[in-house]
Amino acid sequence: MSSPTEINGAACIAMVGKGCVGIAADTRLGMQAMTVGTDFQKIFKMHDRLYVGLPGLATDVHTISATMRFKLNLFKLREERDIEPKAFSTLISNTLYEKRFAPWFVEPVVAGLDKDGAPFISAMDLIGAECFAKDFVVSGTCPDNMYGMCESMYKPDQEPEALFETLAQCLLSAVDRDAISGWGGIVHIITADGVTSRRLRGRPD
Amino acid sequence: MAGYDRALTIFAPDGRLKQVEYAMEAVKKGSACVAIRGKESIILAVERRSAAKLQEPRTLNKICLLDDHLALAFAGLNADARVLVNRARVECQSHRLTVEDSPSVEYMARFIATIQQRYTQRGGRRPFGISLLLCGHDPDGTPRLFQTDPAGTYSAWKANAVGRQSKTLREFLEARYDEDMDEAGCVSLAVRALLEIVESGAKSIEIAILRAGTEPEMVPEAVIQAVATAAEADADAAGGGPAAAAAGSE
Repeated sequence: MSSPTEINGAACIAMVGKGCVGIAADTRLGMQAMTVGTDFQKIFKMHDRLYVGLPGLATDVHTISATMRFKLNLFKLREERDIEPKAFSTLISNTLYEKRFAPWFVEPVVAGLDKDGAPFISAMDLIGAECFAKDFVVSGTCPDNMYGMCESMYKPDQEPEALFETLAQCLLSAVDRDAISGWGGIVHIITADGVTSRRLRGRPD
Repeated sequence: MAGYDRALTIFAPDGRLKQVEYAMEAVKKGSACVAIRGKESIILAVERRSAAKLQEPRTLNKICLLDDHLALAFAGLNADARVLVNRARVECQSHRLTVEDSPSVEYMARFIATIQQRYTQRGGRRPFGISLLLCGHDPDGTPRLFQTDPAGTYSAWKANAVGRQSKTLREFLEARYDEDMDEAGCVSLAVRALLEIVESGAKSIEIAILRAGTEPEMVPEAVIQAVATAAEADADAAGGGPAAAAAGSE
């Protein structure tokens, strides 16, 4: 009997830099021990300055990303502006709590820049309990690994290039000690001028 | 006939639904809208009623986006329009969620018209006092224009007008519409049509252009002014200015 969040495997980290945020996730899709996909999308762009990472049960990753896309489109049509990261974090938290007693098995990570360019990151559990941090947040099947790596390697106020290096190394090292996450990764660095996305080549196992 | 207009769900002896007809009267009082379907793009033009001095004109938008490929303009009761537009927006997203494809223009026109019809058959509610011009491109890129009315009928058009003086505007369009008009020609025709009935010229006109694959674009006032000036110059030169103006306004 396996926990739903441990069937497919995932690892996701968001980290704050100087006027930028980064969000990274692995790209493995597994059915417990068997790897069935090596390019599974777990980070979704909400708008130019807002990304959300969804580690957890793959079917719920699909459902929640589509649901948030629905809500975001309506927000944009009605408010005629992009949603702020903090408001989006609250939106996804409330969406999850609506299913308090039959939850969605995803533990989202939100990363973005607000309208003044200030970085924002948050993570929450599967029923929407948000946690805000000024440095980094992690979520997935190897949180202890990711926390350990981030605590060791994080430095405040890193420039985008340095943030990418730190984030990439934290993710790759953490997933190496977890059987069900890994097989490559993707990192998005969000700055006021745009987003740089890079794929990571990790151990293919 | 007295008494047959109280309840919505009663037919008058001559087969009419009075409440629906009265709703259409409400539409005729609304500010004018014109829509023209060109070969590839669609032009949506509305008469902008002047805002009160202390009012923010930006919040009086009559061209509403339903989705990134659909827009509509309405004539009639603003509040009714707000409710319908909101439902339509939610339905667009719902369609995307369930079938993973954007809704066709006809689907949305049918959806909105169905809501409008429902309010003509159940007692206790009044019809929506709205006629709307729904424009957009189908997923395959074909431009489409639909009109709905308070009775809940909908039909496709090449060019149409609703609201104030819509009959006059429609006749104007019928005389000058050409299937092969390009985008600039459609914009010019829309401006010329509305100039026939608006009070303060180009300042009272708002135009949106819908092209396949991109979001609707609002035309800047300077461009509208330029088109209006050119149109007036053409009309004077052709000598048809005074005659057209006399026929257009009453």
